[in-house]
Amino acid sequence: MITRIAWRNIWRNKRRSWVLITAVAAGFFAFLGGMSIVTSFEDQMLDNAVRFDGGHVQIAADGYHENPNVRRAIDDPAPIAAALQGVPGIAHESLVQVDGMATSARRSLGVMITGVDPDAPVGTAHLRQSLVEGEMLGGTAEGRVLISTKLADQLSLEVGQRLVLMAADRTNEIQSAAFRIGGLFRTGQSAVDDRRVFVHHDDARQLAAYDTEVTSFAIFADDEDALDAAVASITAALEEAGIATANLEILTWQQRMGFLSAMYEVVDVFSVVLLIILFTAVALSLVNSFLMVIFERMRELGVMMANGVRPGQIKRMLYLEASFIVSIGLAIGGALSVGLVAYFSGGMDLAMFAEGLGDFGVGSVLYPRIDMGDLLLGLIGIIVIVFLAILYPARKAAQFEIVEALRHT
Amino acid sequence: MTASEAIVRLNGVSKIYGQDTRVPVRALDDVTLSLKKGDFAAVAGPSGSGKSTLLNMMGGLDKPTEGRVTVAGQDLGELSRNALADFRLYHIGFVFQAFNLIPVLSAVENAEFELLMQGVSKEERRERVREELTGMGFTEDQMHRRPDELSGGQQQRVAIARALVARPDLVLADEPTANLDSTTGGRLMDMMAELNERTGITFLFATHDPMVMDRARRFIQMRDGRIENDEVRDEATVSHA
Repeated sequence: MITRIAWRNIWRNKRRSWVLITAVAAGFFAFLGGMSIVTSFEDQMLDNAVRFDGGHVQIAADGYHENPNVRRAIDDPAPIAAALQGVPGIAHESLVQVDGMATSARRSLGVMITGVDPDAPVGTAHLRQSLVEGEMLGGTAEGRVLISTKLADQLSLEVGQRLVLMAADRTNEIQSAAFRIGGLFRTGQSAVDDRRVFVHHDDARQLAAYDTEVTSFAIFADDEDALDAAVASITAALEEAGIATANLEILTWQQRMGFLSAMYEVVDVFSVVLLIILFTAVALSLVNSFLMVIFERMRELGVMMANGVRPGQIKRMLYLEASFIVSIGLAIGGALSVGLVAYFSGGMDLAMFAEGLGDFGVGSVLYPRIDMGDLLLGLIGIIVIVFLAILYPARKAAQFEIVEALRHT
Repeated sequence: MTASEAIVRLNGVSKIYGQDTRVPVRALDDVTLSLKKGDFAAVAGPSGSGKSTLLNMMGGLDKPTEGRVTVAGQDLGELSRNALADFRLYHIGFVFQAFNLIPVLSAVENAEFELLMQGVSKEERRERVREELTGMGFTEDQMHRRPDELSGGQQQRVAIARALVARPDLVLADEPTANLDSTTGGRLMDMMAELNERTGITFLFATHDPMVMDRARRFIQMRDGRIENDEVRDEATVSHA
């Protein structure tokens, strides 16, 4: 009966209820919709950083992270590669990275020469997708290089033209080789487009004066949220294979990319602050409306209590009324958020902010996604805030002196 | 409990409002009174004489400053707020002057309100409520109307039905006819007199209405918080429809 009364009570003043429902819906939509865009931003930032910068977990020679120098190489990568084959839930590729110069007839620019294995399906997928002209590197070293459209403009080069790459090898000797531009890519990320060039890893080895060495292994985990477990499995597999892990560093992306990791934490704090700001406004509306409600219905509440309704049941009725309003608001706000995500399922084109987004390692097209953590945070947050907001009016209503309430007109 | 047993006892009950202020008001002054099972009584007196306060004390809606109120053998002063709410639910029915009903419930839902709170089964609830409302002249259509679609008399009848279907020991009615025309008020009083005779439920009315006073079989006169006169009438002096 209390539930029935509560449900009908919310429709007694339809306008007021709809204002509250709209406030909750707008707040939830602003939070969830906003966070879906932020999540997309985070997704891309992480995905791009991970794909182009060493994977979810990177294995390198001890000290490489502090001083990424060509002299800090993994001298014998084959046993490591073999051990990694046996670890479930991961894929890996070896990388050879050398700092160097790219020189055309017009200009020289500092670049990071990255030697990749074109046959590694996971690590090079992004590169393949980012190609806008030309072809992907072939399966063998053939003196071809992939550069960004931006570098091509700066160097005044086109596909098929020649480029000289020069680098200091592991013995500090200067090595150089001429490469033909096999293709142009555009990732939209400044960190990649400004200074990365990709060659076959055997070509990169020649520039670094490596034999079979590599600078690192990039490891891609199936479960991005269980990287600590992945690191434990990788370490165990290496030790089981008799590889001295003390000479290696096995780092997650959070450990390697402090800025990105800190940014994630800032976004988490931001989401809580956003939630508190949005729902404090909603909570104040609820408090105000429910104080009006109980004073409008004071006599009615008195009649109910005179007829045997306990103070706790009066409280429950008001909580139910608030719950109904909030549930409807959340459903509408949630539906709008899902609609937003569905509407932009093909991508939200933010080309006008491309340069700024690129500085964060994000492309100009975002794909909004509702994160379950944000959804739970939003739901739990609003439930707690509404509970606190209704506490005062509900307590006040339950504490009415019946005689006073019955005198109220 | 036999017919001669007291259903309500007030022993030396006083109620002082604003005790801590400079002008305390003594609404009840050392009232001792008992109502027997089956009484059909009216309490009258000028405004401020303490009629409503007396009903509030008997109904456990207010606590006396001094004295003791016992209803159906239970000292109301011993009960917590929740226990008092439960006690009212099972033992006392109220009919107020106006705005008695819950506006979002239909007539039948209002009438079954206390039964539902008591946890009576749906079948039994509907049977008892329909019987009561049909006996009060409600049509099926009227039973499903909300209070704002009913006349004042119909609303008061629903309030009476709500008070009665729960089979209380005592019905307290504060100015039940004040907002009704004399014909409707008269019908209502006749109906309650008939219910009193049929069920033996004790009724106490606080009233200014001479028609209510005429129909009561016991007439209590109050003034300045005291009982000035308490008269039990014989059948010959009671007015009937």
